[in-house]
Amino acid sequence: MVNITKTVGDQGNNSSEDVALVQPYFIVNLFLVLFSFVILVSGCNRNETPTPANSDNVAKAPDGTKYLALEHFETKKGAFELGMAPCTAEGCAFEVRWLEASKPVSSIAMPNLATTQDVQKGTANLNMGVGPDLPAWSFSEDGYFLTTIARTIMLDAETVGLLLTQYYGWDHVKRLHRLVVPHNGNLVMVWDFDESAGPTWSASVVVAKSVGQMALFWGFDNGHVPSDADRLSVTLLKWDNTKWKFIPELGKKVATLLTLGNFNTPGDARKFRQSDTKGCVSPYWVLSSDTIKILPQGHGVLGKVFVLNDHARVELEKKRLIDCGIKLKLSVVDVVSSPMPYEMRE
Amino acid sequence: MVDITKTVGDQGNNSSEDVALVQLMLRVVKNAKGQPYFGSNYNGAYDQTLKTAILAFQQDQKLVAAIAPAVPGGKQPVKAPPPAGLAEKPGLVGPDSKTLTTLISKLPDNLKDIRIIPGTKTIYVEGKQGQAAISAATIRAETQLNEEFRGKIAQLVDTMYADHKIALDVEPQTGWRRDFAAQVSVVNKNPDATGAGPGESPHQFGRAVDIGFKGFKWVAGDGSIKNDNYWLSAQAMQFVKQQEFWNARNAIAFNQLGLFKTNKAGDYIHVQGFADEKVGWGASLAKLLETTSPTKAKWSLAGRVASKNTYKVDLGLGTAVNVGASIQLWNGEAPISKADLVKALNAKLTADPNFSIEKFFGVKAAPAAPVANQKADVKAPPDQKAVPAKAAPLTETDIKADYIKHLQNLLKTEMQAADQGWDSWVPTK
Repeated sequence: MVNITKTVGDQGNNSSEDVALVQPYFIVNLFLVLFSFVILVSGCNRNETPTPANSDNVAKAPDGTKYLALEHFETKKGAFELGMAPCTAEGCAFEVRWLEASKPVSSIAMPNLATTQDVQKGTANLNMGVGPDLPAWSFSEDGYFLTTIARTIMLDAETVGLLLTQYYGWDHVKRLHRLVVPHNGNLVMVWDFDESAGPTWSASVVVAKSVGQMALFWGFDNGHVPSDADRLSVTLLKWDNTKWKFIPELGKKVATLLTLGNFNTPGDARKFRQSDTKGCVSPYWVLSSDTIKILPQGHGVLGKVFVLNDHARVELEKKRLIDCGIKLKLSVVDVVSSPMPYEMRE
Repeated sequence: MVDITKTVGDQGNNSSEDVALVQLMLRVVKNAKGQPYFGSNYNGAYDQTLKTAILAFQQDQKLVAAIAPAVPGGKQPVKAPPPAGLAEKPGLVGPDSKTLTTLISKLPDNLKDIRIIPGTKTIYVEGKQGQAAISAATIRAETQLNEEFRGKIAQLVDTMYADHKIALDVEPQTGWRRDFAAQVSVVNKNPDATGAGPGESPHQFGRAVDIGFKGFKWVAGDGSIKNDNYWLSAQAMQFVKQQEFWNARNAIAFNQLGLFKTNKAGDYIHVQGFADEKVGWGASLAKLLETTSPTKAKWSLAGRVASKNTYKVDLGLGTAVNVGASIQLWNGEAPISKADLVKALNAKLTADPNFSIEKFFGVKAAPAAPVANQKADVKAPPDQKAVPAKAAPLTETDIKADYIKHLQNLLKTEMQAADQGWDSWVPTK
């Protein structure tokens, strides 16, 4: 395990040997070391105590089977509204409505159903499949939960779409993503992505300050083959207004990766991760240095992706790891866009 | 050995699976110029292109008469005399035809054992019998699975191989039974990765496994072999094609063996021994806790807080007390409210004058005040704090921190007993 003796970086001790250790690192199709440092970790303490529902955050259908409006998104041409359709024998669907002059003119139902309209408003995170701190509407019952998150995306100067994510399951959880756009008064689904079977994770994140850009994060835990690295990719998708579809834009910086440690092989990185029962490093992916240009081939690191330039989250992660007590090298590198893991339609 | 069931080609039966096999073979077998006889990806649809490809192969292999090339301005093309002793029909491949055996003989070794399930569109390479046999034997020997259930799962492996030459196996990372501690580890690692706390996952009671495809190799349209994973998700196989393979497994598991799928979306690999409709995970854990309780406590599901089941328990007080989520119980951190406890204890003290608070909390009562001529030197053991005997009405200040800790430890013991008694679990709604 690599160790440095003192601090390296801004206002650090910056001894030449320590600097030499932290300089030459990483990327996932990735390059550019932004900074590195060593963390000290001791006794990670995660308290997952459920907190009582705040009654202000509870939305209940008045009569159980009427349309229930949840969230409103105003645009120049009309408004999107996320709500719950009246329940049917099959269940209660989250629904997107397109409103013109405040009147609903079109709607699309999301695929997964709740069994009642009792939903709670909470806050979503990247694990749930979206960028941080978005409002999330959650239904839960014994053996099943379903969370729906909506946010707008500017596709071009005139067109606004609504990007929706559903995070759902019980023993295993899944996510799916849909983009709906109003077209001649009708809502049209123009893009979708569903997680495939197995230990997968995905997130669709609107790239802030960029018109028509979205990042699709995707990962697959290869723990069933312990010697193998996990698969992780981030694809920058650019809206093509002539084709009305997203086109991958490869090679551009699209996210930030935090890497941890420098293991002889991905298998060694996995063993280290498996030894962590407290959740200190377990949210990290096992990555091969083969995908990180500056590292010697065949090595392993642990890595976790963050939304583009989200240094606040990186800082939070650093604090979390410091609380965990083991000396490991921590580096921040850029992630560049790579191809989609798979297409929904061929 | 590649096998087709009926004829493919001109005036043939042309079932989609036989057509797909012939298309693929003619896709990977090359002519003298190094070009494939069939230039497109296999798709199971017979057309003129395939007929032409079959004919070209037959002619190159001298299985049928060659057609003399047309001469510009001359006579129509004429057939060359057929080779003596051959009875192949031009443009047609039959199950016992020389055309088929010749085609098979020219396949690369890694494609000699290709198959396709009737009614499906994806060709795959036969799995290894030894792999299926090891998988079935391992499952039969796994005592952490319910005996009847593991017998059925092993039978599923045997039948899948017998019917389709596909090896199934239990996914090694999380596919077997997970004890409560393993589930806690899952929750601790990433609370967003599961909704199930300890005792609330279908994998904790030996009646569920994740059983997928072991070493599965399927053949892409261009003849390239794809090594896939347990979930068929590593090589971008189309969703509908994935479903065809799951359906083949499910036809055996659910229709023949009486096993069950889960209704959870996307969890195709999961097979269980009970119907989802009969299970409430919280209710079932409460029932198991009651069945295995060392103290004969009465457990029930209290409700849900922040998407987690919460529980309540009557520890002999006659009134159930809320004790939080299963992970809190397991961690010895049950959030017991002093107010709830005081209310339950006072009710018990009122109903039962002989009830001992001290005994309930595992502490030793101090002796009564010494009477005359009696030495006041009776002490509680050093590890037990002596407290004055209590009577109703109690207040919250009477509930000491170590009383709560005692109950939390007791509840943890109840969870541990449930974990040990996993095979007593029954689906309860």
